[in-house]
Amino acid sequence: MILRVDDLRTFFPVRRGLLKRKVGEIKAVDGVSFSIQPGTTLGLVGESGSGKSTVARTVLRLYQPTTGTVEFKGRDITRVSMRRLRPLRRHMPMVFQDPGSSLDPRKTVGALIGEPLLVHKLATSREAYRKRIAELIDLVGLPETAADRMPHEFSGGQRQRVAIARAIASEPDFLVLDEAVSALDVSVQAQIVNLLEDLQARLGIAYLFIAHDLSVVRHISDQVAVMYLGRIVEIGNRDEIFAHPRHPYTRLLLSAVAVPDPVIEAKRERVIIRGELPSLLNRPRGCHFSNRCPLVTPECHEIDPPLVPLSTTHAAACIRIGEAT
Amino acid sequence: MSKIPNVGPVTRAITRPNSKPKASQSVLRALLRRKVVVVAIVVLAIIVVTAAFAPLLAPYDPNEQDPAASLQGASAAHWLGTDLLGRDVLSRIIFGARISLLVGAAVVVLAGLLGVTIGIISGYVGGVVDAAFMRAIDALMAIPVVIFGLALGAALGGGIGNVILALGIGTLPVFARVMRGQVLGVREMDYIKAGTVLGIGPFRNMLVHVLPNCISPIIVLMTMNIGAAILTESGLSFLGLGVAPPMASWGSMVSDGYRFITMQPLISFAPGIAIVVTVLAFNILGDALRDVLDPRLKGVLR
Amino acid sequence: MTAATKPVLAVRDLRTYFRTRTGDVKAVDGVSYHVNPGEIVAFVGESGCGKSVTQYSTLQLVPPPGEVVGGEVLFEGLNLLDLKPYSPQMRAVRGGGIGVVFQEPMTSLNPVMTVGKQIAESIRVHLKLSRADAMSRSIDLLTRVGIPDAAQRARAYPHEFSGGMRQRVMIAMALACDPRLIIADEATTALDVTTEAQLLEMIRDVVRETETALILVTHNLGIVARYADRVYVMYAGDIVESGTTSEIFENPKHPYTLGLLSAMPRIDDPHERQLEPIPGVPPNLLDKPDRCPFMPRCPFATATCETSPKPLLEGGEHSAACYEVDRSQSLLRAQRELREQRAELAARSVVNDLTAPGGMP
Repeated sequence: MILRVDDLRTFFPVRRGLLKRKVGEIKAVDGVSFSIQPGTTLGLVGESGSGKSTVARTVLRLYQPTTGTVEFKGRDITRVSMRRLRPLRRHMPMVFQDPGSSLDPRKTVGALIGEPLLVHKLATSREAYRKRIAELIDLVGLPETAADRMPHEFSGGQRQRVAIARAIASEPDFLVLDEAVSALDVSVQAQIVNLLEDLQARLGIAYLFIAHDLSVVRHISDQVAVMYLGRIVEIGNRDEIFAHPRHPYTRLLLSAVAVPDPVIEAKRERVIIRGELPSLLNRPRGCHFSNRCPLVTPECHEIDPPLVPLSTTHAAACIRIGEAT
Repeated sequence: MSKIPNVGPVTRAITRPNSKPKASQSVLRALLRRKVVVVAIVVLAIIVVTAAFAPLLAPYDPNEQDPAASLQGASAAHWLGTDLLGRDVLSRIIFGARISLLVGAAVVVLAGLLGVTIGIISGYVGGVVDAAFMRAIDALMAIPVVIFGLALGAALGGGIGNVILALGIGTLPVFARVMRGQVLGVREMDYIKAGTVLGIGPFRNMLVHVLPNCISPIIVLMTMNIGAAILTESGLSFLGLGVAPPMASWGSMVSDGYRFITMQPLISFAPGIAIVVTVLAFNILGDALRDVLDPRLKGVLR
Repeated sequence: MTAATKPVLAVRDLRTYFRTRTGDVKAVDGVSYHVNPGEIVAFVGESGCGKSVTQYSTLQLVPPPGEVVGGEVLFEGLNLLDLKPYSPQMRAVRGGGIGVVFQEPMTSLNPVMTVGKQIAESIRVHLKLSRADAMSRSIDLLTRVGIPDAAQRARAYPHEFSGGMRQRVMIAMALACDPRLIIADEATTALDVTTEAQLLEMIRDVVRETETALILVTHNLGIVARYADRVYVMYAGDIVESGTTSEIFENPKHPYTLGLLSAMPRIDDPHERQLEPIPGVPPNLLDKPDRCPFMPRCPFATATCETSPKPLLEGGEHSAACYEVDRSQSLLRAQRELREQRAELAARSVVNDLTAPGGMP
């Protein structure tokens, strides 16, 4: 196991007044557990307020976990000091959503890609440093001359390649991709997705792939976890989730995604979600999805549904799963 | 099965046409577009060259007294006349340029270094440190620079070193604040977070990534404050708290010639005009830099 | 549709250039299309293709340095481009004849005015109703777009609504004066998928009910497949393919359309399927040469394509602007095989049938 997350919670205090007294809490991540095997991809999907980005950032300690544990390659990194964490970071890089703002506009592409080598002292000589940068540039499909250019001279897709090259410079086993292809056009997105799959096949890197676009997740993931309001509502093998979604939210989500085929679309039955996302400060009692669920019963407001295993590779958090076959 | 060939990753350089890898080149070009700015730059160049080659350019030694030729008007021998002690006004102005430029530059560099350091630490670290620094800066800002200079001058005596010190400290608040504001903005950018995630420590992040991206308003500020520094120094020297004789700054020359304004107005006017021209040129340049750097640079370095 | 049905909007050879110091950026480079009453027409393309600029050009809302340099925009018999941008007639069209829903729900509503008042404002300007009547109509509209407690909510400010709700308000505003055409410019792009689905269903119902024509500007081919009657595919300022939705998806003719369809991941893909990206990047619209804009990236490009002038839409109900249409049809065989695989998978999955086992009533 590359990564193991156990009952992770990240709460953000809401403070009011001059004395900044805490009046409430935003439970952005409210009890999330999963694990990622080496060389595989876990796709974490959800809509706004689901907490998927917060999970990724908490795992990387950009936010501090409130409770729960994060284990990286068997080592508990939940409360390790920032200073001790730094050398470990070479194994846990991240690619951000916006390639425009995730690259320092004043540095050359070569300097950006090479920075991890400097920070973690991975290059034994100037020669080795330059060679590795050239290697990485080639690996991600950028032209040789890229090293001396500035980020603004490249298109969005190419900038993401730079970000990816920088991320894998330190030869990590694990990579977090936070909506890394969401800001790209379809044709470019396909290029980057292929690149990521290629790199995974070649280098054996495990991915935590955060996205809201189910079609991309379908493509790149081995495991999928669906989040809603800070919790995982369904998790399992990719094929099972997409072919046999069991949680009502997952089904609504899949129903909402339009397929580029009018013949299929005409035949599809569509169930539209009702209601609105509740405020993160004030969630429904019991199941978080209860105020919008088409299958809601009075019990749903009382019980907080745990993740029920449906098979060795599939689990969903809904008290009505067992019924109606 | 025929299909659209999967060409895979892009292998050709796709650069935007008219891309400008060197930001400084485009800044220069943009600056030179306006005539006023070109004039200002030329004027400043002349002043700098004059100051640099003062011994070669000045017809006389600025301190050479010639009592017989006291208080003479403009003549072939003395283009701008002489002062009470028969010293050549033109030569004194030429050497005075050195003092004024030195003070201007030194003040701005001192204020810049101190202000930027305080600003960047304050902005990046935040919390109690930030609060403490900002309250100190607030207190400092409450005192007008001239008063501060007077007070320090009175306490430590005049002289060019103290003038520079006083003005430097008095001017640093604005640098600190502007820098802090910039840092607060840049700190939230993804590339700083990306740095943290990569394992870059806060020190390196601050120095290598935050600082260069915050520096352009500081450049503008420095340019515009040189003019202010020169003016303030002139004021202090006029009041007698600036440079000590026989060193002559333009301000002290104005002061000395004040008494003779009806007899030999050039003694005061000439250095006065020099001050006005220099400060104006710096301000025009600073203004133009601001116009160019702030909105434009965002587009160029997109 | 009888022979007498005239299009609500007919655009001919529209050109919009952005004048810059270094030359003209040809954002819209000779675009012709029409929208019939009650139709839903989609404009689809990636960023920079000109689909949004085209719409704003018809309403003379292109900001400088953009300029409409040619063409004809016929709305209800009148050429809108003949009108001065701020003349009373042009202003009557905007909001009165043609309603617009913009992309960004956060910034397109005035934050200091209540929602009811904002809708009523538009009503009073165009329909000259009294304040009371305008407000009551405003409340009706809010109910129609699915906002509960409309009478109460009309007195709320935009920041008190969520993104999806704000877009509903925008739609209410667009509908307020019974326009003949509504332009939805990426109106749901910024929203969550489930909210987007809610909104689009509502828009479709309302638009069918009032027989208003709708232009959907989007980059999402799924939405196009689900809602549009006809499609215009745009690339680099040109329409490269036009036709009915079923035709475009069943028999895509232009290599770019084919490329888009092959590059898109889908939730019903068989898992061995490799995404087929379109190599390269879109062209620079400055110094746009007079040849097929897609040529540098086109797998079917021939020497003729490189030297010939820009191909035009052939004409007819389904047409593509391409010299090599026949060759690209051979790809359709591949597409069909793929479709068969998907259909098989779909039969075994729940994607198109939510009444399958799992617990949905």
